[in-house]
Amino acid sequence: MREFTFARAATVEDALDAPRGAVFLAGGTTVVDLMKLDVLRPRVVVDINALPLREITVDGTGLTVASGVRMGDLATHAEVVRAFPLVVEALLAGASQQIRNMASIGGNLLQRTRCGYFRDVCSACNRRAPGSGCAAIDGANRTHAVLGTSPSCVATHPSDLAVALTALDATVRVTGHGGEREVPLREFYRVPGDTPRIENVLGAGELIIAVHVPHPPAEARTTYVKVRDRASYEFALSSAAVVIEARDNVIAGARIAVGGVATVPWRLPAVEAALIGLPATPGGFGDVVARAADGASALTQNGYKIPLLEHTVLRAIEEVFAR
Amino acid sequence: MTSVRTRLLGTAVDRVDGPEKVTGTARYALDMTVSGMLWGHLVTSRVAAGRLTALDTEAAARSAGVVAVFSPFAPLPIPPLPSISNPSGTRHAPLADPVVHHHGQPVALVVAETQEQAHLAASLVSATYDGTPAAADLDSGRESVPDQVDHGQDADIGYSLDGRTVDDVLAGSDIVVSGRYHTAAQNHVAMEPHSTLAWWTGDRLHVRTGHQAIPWLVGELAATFGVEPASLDVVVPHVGGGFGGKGRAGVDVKLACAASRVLGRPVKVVLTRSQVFTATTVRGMTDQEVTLGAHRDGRLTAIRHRSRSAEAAVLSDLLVAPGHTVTRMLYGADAMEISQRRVTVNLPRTGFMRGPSEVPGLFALETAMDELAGRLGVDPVELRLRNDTEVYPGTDLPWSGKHLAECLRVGAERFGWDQRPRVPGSRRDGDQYVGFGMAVTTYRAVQILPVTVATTLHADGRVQVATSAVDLGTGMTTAIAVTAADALDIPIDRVQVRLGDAALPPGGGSFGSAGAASVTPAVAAAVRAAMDKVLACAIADRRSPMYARAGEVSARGEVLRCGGESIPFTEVLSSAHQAAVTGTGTTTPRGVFEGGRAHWSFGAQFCEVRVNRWTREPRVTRMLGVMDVGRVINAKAARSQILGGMVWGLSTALLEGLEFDARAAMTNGNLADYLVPVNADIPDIDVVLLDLPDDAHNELGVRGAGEIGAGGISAAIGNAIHNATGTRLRDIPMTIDRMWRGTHDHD
Repeated sequence: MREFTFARAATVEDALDAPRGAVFLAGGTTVVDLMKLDVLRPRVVVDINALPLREITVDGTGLTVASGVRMGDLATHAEVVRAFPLVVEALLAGASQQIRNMASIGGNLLQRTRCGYFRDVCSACNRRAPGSGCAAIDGANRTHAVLGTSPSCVATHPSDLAVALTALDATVRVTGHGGEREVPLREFYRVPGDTPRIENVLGAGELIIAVHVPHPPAEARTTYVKVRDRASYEFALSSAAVVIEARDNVIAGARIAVGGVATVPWRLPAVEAALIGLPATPGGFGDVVARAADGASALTQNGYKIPLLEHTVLRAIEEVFAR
Repeated sequence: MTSVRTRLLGTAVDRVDGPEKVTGTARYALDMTVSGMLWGHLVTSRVAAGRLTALDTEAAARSAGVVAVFSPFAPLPIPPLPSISNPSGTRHAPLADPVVHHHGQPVALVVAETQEQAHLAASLVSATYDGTPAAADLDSGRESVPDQVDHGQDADIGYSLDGRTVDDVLAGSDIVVSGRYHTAAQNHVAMEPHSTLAWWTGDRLHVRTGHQAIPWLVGELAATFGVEPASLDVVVPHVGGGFGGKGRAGVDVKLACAASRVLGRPVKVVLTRSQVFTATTVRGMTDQEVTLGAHRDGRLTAIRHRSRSAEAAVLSDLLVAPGHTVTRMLYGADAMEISQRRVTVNLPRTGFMRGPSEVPGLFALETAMDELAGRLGVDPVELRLRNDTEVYPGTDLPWSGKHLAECLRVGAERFGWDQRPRVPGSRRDGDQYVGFGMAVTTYRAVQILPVTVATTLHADGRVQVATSAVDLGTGMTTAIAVTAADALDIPIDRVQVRLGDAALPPGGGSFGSAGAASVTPAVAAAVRAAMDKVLACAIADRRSPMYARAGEVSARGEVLRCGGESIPFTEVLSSAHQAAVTGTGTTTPRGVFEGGRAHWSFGAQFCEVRVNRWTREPRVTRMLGVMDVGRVINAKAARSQILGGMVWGLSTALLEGLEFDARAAMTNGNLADYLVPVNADIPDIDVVLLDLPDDAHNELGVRGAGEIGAGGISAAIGNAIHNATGTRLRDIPMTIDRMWRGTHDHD
């Protein structure tokens, strides 16, 4: 780890005054890890843990979570457990209890990819070192993305929570010198394209201060399915967050996001549309989920993710109706 | 007067070092400090093959606190030595030459005043390489015929009972199955990273490290640094896991000793976790082809096992030899052909790992046996029973003690094997397919190094047992205490055990499942020798009622008996004004065919697997191991050994595998990406120890439980996955991508 200047911000305004290139430190589960690996080399680290960003509110508009709330606290908040089970399932599917006790919600949304070449400073990686190439495209890519990829980058976004929030149409509240703004999570992340280094729409010095999640429709049923090599404490090879609304035993609305297979949390509008009007009972979704991998392209080692993705979505839909 | 005494031996005893371990007060080598100590940090190679052409160390040398930067261009005086098991093989020393043999090879050592300064400066070293194409796998490496395999055997071995070749016999067999199996390379990932603190006082070298065999370490350091073995002060305080990965003087040891000598100050070198993956040893990958011929009733007619195993370019301690090690001995046939080839791959040093050849070999052979059972329609347990051999196959050598059939029967009964799905893919519980699988496991029983144990009986009642054996965390200390307390028939808390110090009598090594079987009989012998001295004291002591009654006095437990009289050693010694007596006991190396018998342990392993019907991830829900490992010293520790082995077996089957990309760079050399199980992966594990003393093996009938637990699990899990789903996986680890690519019976 390299030497850096450490500062503590007492207020949001303090934090926004951090010098250019400073890194915000909340739980540290990503930042400290990547600093130890020499992937992040900030000259200034600004601790934002003293900021008043620890509130969880559930009201008529939905759930509002300040960005400094810890994953573990959100996952055990009684009102959240009752009204937002999909959020809780996704939170508990991620990391370990020890990490959830430290990691913040804002940091969770901003966590960096687990691509081994991104995390190894000796390897080519356009995301870490623009223009250096992508070692994963012809390297170890068993865990890499099949959706939203580009010749520059094929790394997956690692967050489970972000997948659930994407399915729930959450918005991110961002503040900066230009004032506050609300960004739908679906528009928050950027696919790598030619500029994989730019991962989201946050401007320089901007800070996430909250996430807002509207209530799902009253009739909605939800589930989060995560498929991984190890039973716990492991990132998804494939995951699906499903929100399905049924009226009179017919599917009236569906929102599906998938993770572990795409460069950003990925909605499946074609599958969602195809579900509308189908009977809200188990079975018969095989044709619909075949649309899940629309546009997917496989690398040398991750072709299995295409059928796995379809079946992860299928399993999630089946589990919703089996409940 | 006779009394039935309750023996301590074989009962479940808490480990004597338990409180230290769980309270975190046990001090490992890397916890040790001495004043004036410097820290060394490795710089490792980014390429897997080629030549280090330049090393820019200027920035590192200018960095705060840096004392020295050593490299092939500024080398340390370390003479190259060959590996332990291949004395005529390649000679190599860390940082001695600029040739790069694998990704992650040490290319420099930065020594600084603090750990942080050394780490930072190491990151400032800039290396230039002239890279050459690297062999990343068995298909790209150079294949050759090894001179010798597994204890001096030829590369091609086998036998024929009647002169027919395997091909002849296969042609006339009712049924033939053949399969090709691959196993991944693995690292030991012991909790304690390889670390050494070394310093010199004149020609005396002081070393604190984690290691599995002090006599080997002393021998290697004496040869490397040209000092007398007696001038080496080597202490191995605790070992946080060895698993075969701490059998040599590793780079940490040699670099710390050499740097300390050059710099005149103590040096500590601690490998980072990622350095443990590349700068220690690994088990190489294998590619195996097994062909079995059988009669309709399942009796094997012919066995062929061809293996190719990856071996590092330099300093390989072991070529994995699955056929030679496992297939040669497990089942008999009319004809058998086994071949072994080596493929040189740009791997980290290849070496020993728990069940070195047995784990890959049993995966292939016991999967093939399951495939045969399926083709024949014979119960897999019954197939093993029908092929149980009374002699070492192809010879008339009897086993020292073999109870495999009992393991199979006890296991089948206890596991409820008769409840298994008869047709693959036929049982579902909710969204999970359910399958049962089983396999046999085995491991040789040998004693590798000579052992001497000293037992001192003190007049105040204390008993001290001392030997330089090490405790890898498996319970050696407790096994010694149990054996001594049992022999003396005293409470275990009167026994103090001293281990892990080269100043003590040579205690052999903790590897090859040979530790307990080598040390505990020597403990029993040392206790006898000490009591003989007590007896001599008594008959020489005019105040003793046993004075001059040699021939009438006998020792039993801690007392001497003579006529109706019983006197404990404490009274004998006090009366004779003798503070203490010391007796020594020894054991000597024994091979697998000692005394005209074949010495192996056996076991049967069963498991239940569930596979999600939609997404196909396999999870193990039950495991059972029934083990015939000879007499059990400490039932609790022995069970833990088997249980730990089975956990590793599960890990090997489903999760573990070093990955190398086309450039032969290790891409998962860290604990986030190299998966080992978490608690959620581990089901209920049931262990049964038959606890039948093997009297033909040694005086206590102890064989050893260190490695056998992992052996059959990979095959048992794969067989259960097949039983659950009809998917037959012949490559481990059996990860989800392989479940999606897997072959099916109907393919």
